[in-house]
Amino acid sequence: MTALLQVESLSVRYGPTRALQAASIEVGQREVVALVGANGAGKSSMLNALLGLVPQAGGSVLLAGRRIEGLSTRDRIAAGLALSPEGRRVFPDLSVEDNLDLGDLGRDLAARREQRESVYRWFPRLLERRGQLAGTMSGGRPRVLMLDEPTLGLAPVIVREIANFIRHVRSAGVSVLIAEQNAEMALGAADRAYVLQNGEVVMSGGAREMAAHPDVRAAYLGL
Amino acid sequence: MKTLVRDLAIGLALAALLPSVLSSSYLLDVAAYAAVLAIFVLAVSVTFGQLGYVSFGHAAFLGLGAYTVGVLVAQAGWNYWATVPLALLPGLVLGALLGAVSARLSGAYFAIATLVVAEILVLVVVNWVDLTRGPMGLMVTTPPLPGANAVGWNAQQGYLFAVGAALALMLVLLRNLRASSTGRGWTAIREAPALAESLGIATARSRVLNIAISGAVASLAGALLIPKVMVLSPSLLGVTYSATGILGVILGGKATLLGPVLGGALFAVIPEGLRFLGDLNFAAFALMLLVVVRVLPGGLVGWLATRPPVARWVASREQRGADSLPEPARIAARPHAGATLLDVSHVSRHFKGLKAVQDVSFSVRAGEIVGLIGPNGAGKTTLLSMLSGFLPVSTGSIRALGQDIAGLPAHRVARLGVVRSFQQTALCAGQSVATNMAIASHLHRPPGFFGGLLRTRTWRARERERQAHALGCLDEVGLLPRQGDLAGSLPYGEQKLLGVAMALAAQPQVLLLDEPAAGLNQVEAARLAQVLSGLRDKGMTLVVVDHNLKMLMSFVDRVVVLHHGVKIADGAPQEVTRRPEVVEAYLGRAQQDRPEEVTP
Repeated sequence: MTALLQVESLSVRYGPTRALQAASIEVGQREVVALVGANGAGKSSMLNALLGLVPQAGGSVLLAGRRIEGLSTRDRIAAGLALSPEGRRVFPDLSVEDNLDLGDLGRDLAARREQRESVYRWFPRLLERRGQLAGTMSGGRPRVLMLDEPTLGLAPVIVREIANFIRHVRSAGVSVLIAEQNAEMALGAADRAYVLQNGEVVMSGGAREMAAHPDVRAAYLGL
Repeated sequence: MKTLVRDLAIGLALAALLPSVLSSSYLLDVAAYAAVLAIFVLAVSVTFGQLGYVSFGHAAFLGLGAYTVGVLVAQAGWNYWATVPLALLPGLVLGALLGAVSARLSGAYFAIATLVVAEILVLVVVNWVDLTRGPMGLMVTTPPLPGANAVGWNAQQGYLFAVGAALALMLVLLRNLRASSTGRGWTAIREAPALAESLGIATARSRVLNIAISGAVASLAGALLIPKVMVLSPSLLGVTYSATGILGVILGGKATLLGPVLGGALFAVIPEGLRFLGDLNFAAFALMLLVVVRVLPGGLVGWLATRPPVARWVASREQRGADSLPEPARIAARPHAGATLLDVSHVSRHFKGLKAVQDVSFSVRAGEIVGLIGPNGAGKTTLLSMLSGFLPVSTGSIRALGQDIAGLPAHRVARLGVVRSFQQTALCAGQSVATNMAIASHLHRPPGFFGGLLRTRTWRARERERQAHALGCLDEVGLLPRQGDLAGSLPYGEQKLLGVAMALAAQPQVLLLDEPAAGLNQVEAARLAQVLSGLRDKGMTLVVVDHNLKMLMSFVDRVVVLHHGVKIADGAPQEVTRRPEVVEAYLGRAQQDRPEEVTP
């Protein structure tokens, strides 16, 4: 059986800097996969390259058996990839509602309203990142949802809410690929994980085993 | 000073070379016009390229300079060559006025303000016929440059030398300014105005100075245009010259110093070269401009800089620059001043109906590290903004280092010693890490405007000290190996660390950090905690907002908790985090799953 998202030796370069070197990962159907690594390890580069936001220097990407590395970002989103980017990326001058609608361009009004209501149910106090996450989610149902640092700058009580949200998304049949500095949260929510170091995958395995692995504990969990 | 004299000598030699080899009257004319336009476009690039303010009316300065000198020569009988240097003054004054009036306007409004000023000047010139002879034009006769005859030059050759020399002088001085704290301040204002203010840069004054300097140089170009045009008419103040200024900057390369010079010169040369096309020459020129803008977004010089041989040369120069950098200077240990550094008394802040902060009081003693926590939207950042002078309080008062900061602009609060970092990464993304640090070390023994302009010995010595200090601060957060990288290309966590280093470089006594550990993993955060607690020994007092409790608890002395804008706890970390109201508002009770199903 092939995975839903299959990434083979993906490379990304910024000028002379190699951000990602022949990294291979897989995300299965209804699977939550975490990318763990230090700052500058290549996690964001991986997600951005998968969506075609940065040019890829080599490798192949298969989504449900179909090669997508030649597609435009727009077509990749249509094919079922969605990314909630790193940092506090919302449109700060627009209302929360407008931000949600931007994640959902091109659908009819009734569908949009219904969608918005379900989003509000999930994130009752929409603020910042939750608004961003919600905006990404409101754009129809992706097959693979990619989250770049979803917990950045959020209070512990909301970090929990995000973890619950990820579980819920999976139960609704969507796979999740999550890049996170908060390795504790990421490994808690994920089924499997990859450790990136200097743009290379150096370790992979079940999230629980990884969380127990002495190297991971020392390097990323600070234990 | 020594380099200034050397560079000026080279400039003068080059200015003398051209008239000595050219003898055709036509070529001399084109060359002189090219040099004048180069000065003018250079002037426009000061506001447009360095400060990022587009001006639609720079011809106002050009025309003002030309008419001031023209009237003094034609009506009052002054000697032209003696009057030319005075042309700097009217442009300086008009620029300062325009800057002062429009300092708070940004972008499009400033552009319109300049356009309006130019139109007003046109009306004045057209209607004040006694002085300017209005639309009939003011005829100004100029004598040959004194001494030109002695070296065997005719009037045109003397004129070309004079404009060439003026161009060289302006180029050298503006280059010096660009590399001094004045020019770095402009870069900071262009890329991140709030950041500039937080680092103690007086942004309003700095903008006024920029526009005044630009106006002065443009005005000088106007005066130097007189021997070429001979008759001054209101069209000097018109859209054509203003457009030439903007387009010349874009054509040559906005971010560079030589670009505008090249762009200006091309504006004189290319239409001449296209004369064989007859009436079509301007259309052809316009088309060329469009193509350049489309194909070379960085302008001609921007494109040249990416050619391998040039890029190698630039890289080798930068390498030499990096090799000659001083050793990073450690931040020296300092005793703590005073007893209570921050005194927050019954402070509230309302945004229309929303009460972001309500009646919060607490104080921070010297040498203390205080953590400020609370759910998202609790008012932490609003409080930090009030402490650093970015937001006025609605009611209540804040005393920092014994002084009430009500009404002080943020840069004054920073100079007082209270420096903040930002939650959203605030840095000059298009500049290198080293340049960001250079901007941030603005307050380190500021060497003054003229020191930087003339590159005096004191200036260079202080510049070296400042560099050492900046590198020391960068080393403090472990980013020293990154100094050559573009700040915007760093991963989020490192951008936050750079923000901390930049705040450090502004030499604070009280450091206010807004989520410094966001984007760092536990190991990186633990390292940051060590750095931050080390700063206490260096005389700093810290207030830290962060959600990484594990890190925060490892080094803070006290925690203040905000919830819905109200202070709900203040005390030792272990004690505060056990309180039920804190647990409920911030930490969350035991894991609870949502029963409700929604369609994602």
